[in-house]
Amino acid sequence: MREFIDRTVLPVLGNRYLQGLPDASRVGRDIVFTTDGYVVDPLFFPGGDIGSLCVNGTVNDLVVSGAVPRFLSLAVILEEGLPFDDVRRVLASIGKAARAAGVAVATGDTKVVRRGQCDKMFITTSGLGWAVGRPDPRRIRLGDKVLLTGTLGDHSLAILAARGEFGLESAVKSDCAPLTFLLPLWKKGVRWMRDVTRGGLATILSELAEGLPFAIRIEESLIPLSRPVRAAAEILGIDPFYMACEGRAVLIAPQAAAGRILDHIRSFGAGRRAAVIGEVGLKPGRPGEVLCETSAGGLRLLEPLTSELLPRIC
Amino acid sequence: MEPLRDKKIVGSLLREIARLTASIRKEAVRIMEVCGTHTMTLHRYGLKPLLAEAGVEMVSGPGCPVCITPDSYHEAALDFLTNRDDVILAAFGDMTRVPTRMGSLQRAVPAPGSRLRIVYSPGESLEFARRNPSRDVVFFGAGFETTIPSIGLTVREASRERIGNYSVLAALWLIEPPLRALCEAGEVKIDGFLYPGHVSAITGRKPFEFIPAEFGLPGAIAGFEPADILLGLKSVLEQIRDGKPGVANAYGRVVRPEGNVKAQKLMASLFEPRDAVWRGLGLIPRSGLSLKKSHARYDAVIRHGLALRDESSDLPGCRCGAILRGAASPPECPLFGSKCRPDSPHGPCMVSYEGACLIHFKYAGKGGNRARTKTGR
Amino acid sequence: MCLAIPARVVAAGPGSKGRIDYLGTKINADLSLLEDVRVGDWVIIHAGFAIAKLDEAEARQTLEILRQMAEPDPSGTGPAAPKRHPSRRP
Repeated sequence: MREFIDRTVLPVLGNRYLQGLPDASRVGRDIVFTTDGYVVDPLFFPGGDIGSLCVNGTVNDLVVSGAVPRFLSLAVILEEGLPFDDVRRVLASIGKAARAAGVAVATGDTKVVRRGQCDKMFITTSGLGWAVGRPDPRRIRLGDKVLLTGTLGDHSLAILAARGEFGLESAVKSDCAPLTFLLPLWKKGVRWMRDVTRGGLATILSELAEGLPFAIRIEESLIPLSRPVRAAAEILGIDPFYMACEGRAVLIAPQAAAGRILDHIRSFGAGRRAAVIGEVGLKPGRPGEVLCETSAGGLRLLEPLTSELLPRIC
Repeated sequence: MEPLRDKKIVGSLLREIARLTASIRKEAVRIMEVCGTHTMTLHRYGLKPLLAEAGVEMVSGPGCPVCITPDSYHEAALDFLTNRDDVILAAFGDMTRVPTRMGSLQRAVPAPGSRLRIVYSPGESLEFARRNPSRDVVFFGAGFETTIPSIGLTVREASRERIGNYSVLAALWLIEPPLRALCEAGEVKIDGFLYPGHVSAITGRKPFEFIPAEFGLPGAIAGFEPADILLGLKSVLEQIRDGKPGVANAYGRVVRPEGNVKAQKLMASLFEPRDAVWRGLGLIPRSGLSLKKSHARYDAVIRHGLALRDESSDLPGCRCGAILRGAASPPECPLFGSKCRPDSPHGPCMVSYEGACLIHFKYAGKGGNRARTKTGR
Repeated sequence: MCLAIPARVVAAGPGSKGRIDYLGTKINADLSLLEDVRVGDWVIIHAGFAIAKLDEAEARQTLEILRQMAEPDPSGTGPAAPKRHPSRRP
């Protein structure tokens, strides 16, 4: 995908807003603008649906880009024959999620295409917010702490469970939720944050580390995992470091502010399992690396995910 | 389960191992872990460097079915998926990423109405056949004795239920022949072996008994948690120290000396040995299994007239073969890290989560070829 | 080739169909490769099939050996403090 963007999209569309390919772009002095397409299958899963997903996903992109989310656009493409009840459920979900996140759906569009021309429902949302902070990796220093707002992989597993794949019966619920409770942290010293979506924690941290003159060192035993994710990951041989979330963020904060910041996050339900999971350091660790101390005591390097996350047989 | 991963316990075992290696000799003791899942555990917990410090150098062996299955099987699967309409190809996840001259299964565009389904269990593919009686379903799987009985069970069940639209394209491998070929080649200097705990659960100790008997080399059957592996290695080192090579069982809670007799009988009833070509090791007599004539209709090659060329087809420059034999390490392959990377793998050693090259790339850096740049992947 | 987990049998039958529980998550498991499996037994599950029973006495013995190994090291050496970078080899 990255190659496609670099080779095909940027040569034609490239401009200063797209430089660095941010999830959200600052346009105008204080306006932050983002967009995302949602094609999740199945539409409904434990803990959420495409409706809550399309709101929270875009809201969270704005939050981690330093903006208070205010408005969403909503473009819906429906496959002919989709049960009306499903559409109603999704819209209700969108309404509920928008209210919870404090955003208004200010503009929208609906299209119906013939059966087979799209898979049930595709949604695109764009989001607009007012900047209250600016993530700046250049301010990251040695000794800064790495924080995670909650357990990894619950959304990923919820989708697997909802697809009925592998005959799994799990108590898992998607972590799909708004991260708006993190907004005050932009004034409390946080340097950088990202929501832990596709590719999982390892990929997100690898992308950050790539541009740093430091290593990021994390400790496996400090990573919060829910019991269902722990179990399914071992049964299927999937690594939680690569499982996607839809309501979790990883943050970098100065050592002196980390305690306060952790307290703030933990005071919210969605952040109750937040933890400091590591720090920015060197030796061990070379610039650009993500180094993980495993639960058994040895060290391993974490690389970004380069293909689909597949269950292992071996 | 927790003590099996406990840091303090792992530390104690490593110290024990260090004491043993110090009493044996000055240079590193080389032990081959046969099974890809052992390789995975070692790397995932960062144990290899710790073991190196304790005087043990681990060498990865040929026990990775995805790695040693030649291209011809993948190409047969690709042929089925891309040229037959309205079929289902069910496969283990790792198999679908393997690159061949015809591309990989994951990137293939299926024929009209056809689909690729990733499965965790061969039983799921039989279920697809039950639910889609008008579509042909082929299960594409590779495995050693751990997995062969399960694949066999789906064939037996299909036969009993008269499920006519199910067949198996199976790359089935036996653990003893490549080990014998390795020992006889004498190409690799190995001081002892770590035997696969779950293959042994099926086969028992028998496949490995020739190694101490004919080659005087020690070995231990081990489980897959960090402490299990270290207990196994400790046993191998004690055998070296005492000059008493054998097949020790360090996984007694799972492995019985005779193995799983019921599973062995099932395998014998459905499959017969055949000469097979292994990627990197070439032709090894009676090293694979194929379905007996009585169940030929469940053999996808026969059923669907798939062309299965039995030839090794390494890509030029690819050193997967040598790496599987333990005769070379990943950074020694000219393609490693440059033309062969996880996002554009050439050989299965870079594809399988247990492939020596992927593991080296993912967990231990990219060796001399790495150039860290800021301009993305 | 050997990815498998120890799990507790929560349903055995009808026939060879079973169900196992691993840390609270349940999946189906085919019990055809084992004899006389009862609810409450512990089995090793690989690719949806139970391939061996767990011997609880042996398991306890292994855990006991390991627990004894957790005694603190009098010499104070060892990998308590990491560590060598994963890419470095002696």
